[in-house]
Amino acid sequence: MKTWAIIEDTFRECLGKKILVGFFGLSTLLILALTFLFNVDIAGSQAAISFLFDKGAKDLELSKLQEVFLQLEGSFAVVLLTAGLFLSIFATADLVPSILQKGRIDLYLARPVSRPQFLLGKFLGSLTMVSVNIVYAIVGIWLVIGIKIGLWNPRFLFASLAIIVMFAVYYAIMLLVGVLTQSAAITVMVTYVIIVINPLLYKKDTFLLLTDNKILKFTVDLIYQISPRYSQMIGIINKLVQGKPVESWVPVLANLLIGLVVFSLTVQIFSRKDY
Amino acid sequence: MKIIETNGLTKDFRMGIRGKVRALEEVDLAVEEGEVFGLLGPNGAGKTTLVKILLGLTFPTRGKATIFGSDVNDFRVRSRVGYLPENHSFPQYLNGGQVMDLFGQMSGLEKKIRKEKTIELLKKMKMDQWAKMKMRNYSKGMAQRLGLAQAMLNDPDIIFLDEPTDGVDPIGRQEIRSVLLDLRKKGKTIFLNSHLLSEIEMVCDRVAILDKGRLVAQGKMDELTNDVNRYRIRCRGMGPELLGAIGRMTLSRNMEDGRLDIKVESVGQLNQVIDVIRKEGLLIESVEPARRSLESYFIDLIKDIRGEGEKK
Repeated sequence: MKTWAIIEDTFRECLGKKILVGFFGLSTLLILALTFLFNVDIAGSQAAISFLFDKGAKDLELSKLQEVFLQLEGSFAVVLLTAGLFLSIFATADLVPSILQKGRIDLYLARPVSRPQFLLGKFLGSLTMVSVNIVYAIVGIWLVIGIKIGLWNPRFLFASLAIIVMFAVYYAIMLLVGVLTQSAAITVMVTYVIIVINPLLYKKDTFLLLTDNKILKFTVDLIYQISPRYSQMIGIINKLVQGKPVESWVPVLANLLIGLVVFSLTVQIFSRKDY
Repeated sequence: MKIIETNGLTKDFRMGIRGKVRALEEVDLAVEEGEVFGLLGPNGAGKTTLVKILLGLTFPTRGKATIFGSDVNDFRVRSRVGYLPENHSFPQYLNGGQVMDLFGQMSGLEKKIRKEKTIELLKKMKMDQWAKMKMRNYSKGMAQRLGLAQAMLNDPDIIFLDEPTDGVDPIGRQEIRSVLLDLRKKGKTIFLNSHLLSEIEMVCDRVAILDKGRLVAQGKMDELTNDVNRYRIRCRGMGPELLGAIGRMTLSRNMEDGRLDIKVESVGQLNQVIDVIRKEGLLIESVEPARRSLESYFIDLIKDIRGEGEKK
């Protein structure tokens, strides 16, 4: 019940700060844009597609159209992963630093609630809020594509799970930075930097050929090992949605492990911090 | 029964990379069940740090603190504790009723009980008509009343109040005082942290005084404010001759509005003064130990301590 109280409080905070409405509005806009972007007429195995502002329709086989949209769904998933992550991080960055403010945290921690329980409640509250919106956007897009061209690809729905997992990992990092700095701005900056440098780290073997510096190699390798596998997740999601085989699930496991370790570390630090 | 006990409680805060500042030093304190305990001290004396340690919000560098015999860091003990922090900030996106519900839920209260307690306490604090108003529209005084209401939500055995009348108007202060006295009647223990000495004097049974992190005095209010060997005699009809005689017998005397204030060396000397007055055939209405205000005691004490510090 106490953890639920914190989850509910986080939800109310998101409502009060209009984060939930903002998220919901953007997702709705995306679904509506997709709804009105193109029109498809299906007659047997043939289809005619016309885009907004197009004067005429393009005729093609329905199976070909569905194949194109299957690939597009993969791209949608990747776009949603990237945009969803950036938006979610921005939207939720203030939730932890704001509650840690002097005069507010005292009110929460003076209750019979353990600090790990409190942090877990905040984590789950933010994660639930983001999850609801991600699922809404993904299911909405899935329905639009399904209704319009008859492509009912259940794998596309898995994309929401992947995005939620990635957000959970990055949110664990945000919690850590938030607890350490109590600054929403620093939390956002650090998390964005970690995401942005990931593609570079992913290609580390290529650019490390240019140097023999062992310390540099070790440092880059270490940063890579402890960073969430964002680039690999993009590949995995794309393949998953399109029904292609995924060569390795290690990046997913690595992400989960990193999230768990970072969250545990945050709990340790938070449990010993003076307020 | 001791509800709060601290032994050698010391707290250092880190300042910069290598520096540290000592907020509390070897504080030994005990608060008995059912008493209203006041914690006094100048700004920066360590009062809030001590309260925060007792509530598990801050961790001591050394020493031990217990509440109800359990370590203060055992969060379960806080189900019997209520707290109103200084300069508290309720979530601005909630209304008064939601604040009560949130903290009631966090205290583990069932929904039905939360609802009943919310109605009862908001009414008691005269906040029931503002229950639906968002916190961002609350005045300081209103937030303070709500703060006191949420501190009583779980029917705690001990309530910590850090500057409870801060920002409250005189009528509101009186109402808060009456709530505190009502809690005392119910046998609740109150730990009051305030810089308003008159307020402490009006409600507290016992006080402790902190200065620069050290506990410099503690005791019952009567003991601290009792002016040693100073007495007040109420008697009508004392003439200049008699007053002159009394003046020669005592260390000091002052006559005002039929009240004779004297300072004597001993109780024996007081009795000699009484004998002299009786010998004149005058009727003594009352004899009582003279008291000074807590404020005057506090100021003298702090000046004494700091004076000694300067000499060193």
